[in-house]
Amino acid sequence: MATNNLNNESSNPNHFAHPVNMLEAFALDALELDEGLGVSSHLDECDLCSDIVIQYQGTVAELAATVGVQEPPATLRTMIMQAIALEDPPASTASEPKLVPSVSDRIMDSLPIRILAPLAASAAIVLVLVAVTMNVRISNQVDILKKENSNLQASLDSNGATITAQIGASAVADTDVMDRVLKLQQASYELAQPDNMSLELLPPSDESPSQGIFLVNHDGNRGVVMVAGMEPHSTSTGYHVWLMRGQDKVWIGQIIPDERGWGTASLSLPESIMDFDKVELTEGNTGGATAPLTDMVLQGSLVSINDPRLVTYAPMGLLPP
Amino acid sequence: MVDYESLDDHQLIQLISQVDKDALEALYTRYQTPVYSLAMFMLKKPALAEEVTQDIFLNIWLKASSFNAERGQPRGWIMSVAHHKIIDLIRSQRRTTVNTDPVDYETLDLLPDGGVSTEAQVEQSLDRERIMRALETIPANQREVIMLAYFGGLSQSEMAEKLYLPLGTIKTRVRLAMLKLRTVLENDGYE
Repeated sequence: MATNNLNNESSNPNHFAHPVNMLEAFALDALELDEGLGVSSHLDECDLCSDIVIQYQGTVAELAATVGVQEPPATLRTMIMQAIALEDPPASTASEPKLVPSVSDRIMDSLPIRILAPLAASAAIVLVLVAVTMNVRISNQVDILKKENSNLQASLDSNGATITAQIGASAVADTDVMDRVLKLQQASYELAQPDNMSLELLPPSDESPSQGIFLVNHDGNRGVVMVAGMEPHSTSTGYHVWLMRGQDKVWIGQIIPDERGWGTASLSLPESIMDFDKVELTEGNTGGATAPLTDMVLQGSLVSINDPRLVTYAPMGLLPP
Repeated sequence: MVDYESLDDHQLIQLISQVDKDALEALYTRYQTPVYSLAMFMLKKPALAEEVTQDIFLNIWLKASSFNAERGQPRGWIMSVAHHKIIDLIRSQRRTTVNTDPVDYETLDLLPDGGVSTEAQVEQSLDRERIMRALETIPANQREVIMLAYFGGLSQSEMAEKLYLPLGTIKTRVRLAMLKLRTVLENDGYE
């Protein structure tokens, strides 16, 4: 360490001020013991003062030349060399290694760490206990949630099956509806043809409220039959439509009225309707072609349409109320 | 084979620091006379002088590595070690066997030379004359404190008591004497 400014004697209160008035006496070995020790300690850290002392020591060494020369006895050399041989080798070239504590050791040896370490350990134990307790409680909650989830899943599966069944039923219903819509569309199409022929269907007695109409296209191969005031039929077979020619009869279709007694059916005729005499509707009997029609409910004579007539549609505003 | 006689003092001290006993013996050959002479002059007893000379070279042997070759001359360091050891011995002996009379130090040139060669005597005489001339340039009262301190081993307070002077006066004289002696010797070109 070097202190290069002798004027800074008091700048550092912890530093032994430069003993500028004592350096000459130190080189002369004229200081008191305590003074000499103080200066010596300062010289260990102050190169500037050391340089001054070294210069004075050179001067003082000259004084030794003023004394009369005295040769030492020859035995003194032997004594000195023997003393050196007995002395341990100088330990100046290598200082003893110091056991320097590691950084971690110094940190662990510090007072705050020694105080805080037990507290930290206790806190860690408490935290572990709290964590275990919380873990148990959370595990219980998880089990409960798992059970609830299973119940919900079962309920969802059941509802899903129900919904699937409902969807299936709905699909069937949709299919029926679509069939009806298609039939209605076809009937509407048939009815909308301007050159259709119509045949009124009447019951055999005046007491029956049933009535109907049979529309046939201009070539007599297709037709639509519509009925009203029919008794809702108990069976799925509904009413059967027949074409009559003498004793022959030809089944051409089926019509199922709704709960209000209305019904419509689109029919494809095997041959032109112009070749037949009558159209009859019977109730549920599909007997052979030669069997008598004993349950006829509506009938119409095809003679009346031998002279086809146009179906006219009145303007909307001219319809009777 | 190392020719130690061809090595300078710096090199010898360097070898001594490397535990070279032959280097120490070579250094002893060079400095045995001035060291022993100083010890004899200050202690007056050959036994004490031999004892302290042995102690001085043993100290050099052990402390050679502390010598800073860049900042000092080997001769100054060796003679400083020697003087310090002699002073320690004097003070341990309580100065019962040494001459502390300043009058005696004014007759340094009268001290006898014993057992040395003529060539060495001539060289020694030249050095002594140079130092004596330098000392003569210093006022007598200042030269007195230097002699009492260096050769008598007295501390500043002991000198103040012996000379019946204030300690501050002694300190001032020591400082002024050292400054002047240093300046004179430097100007003389021998340091």
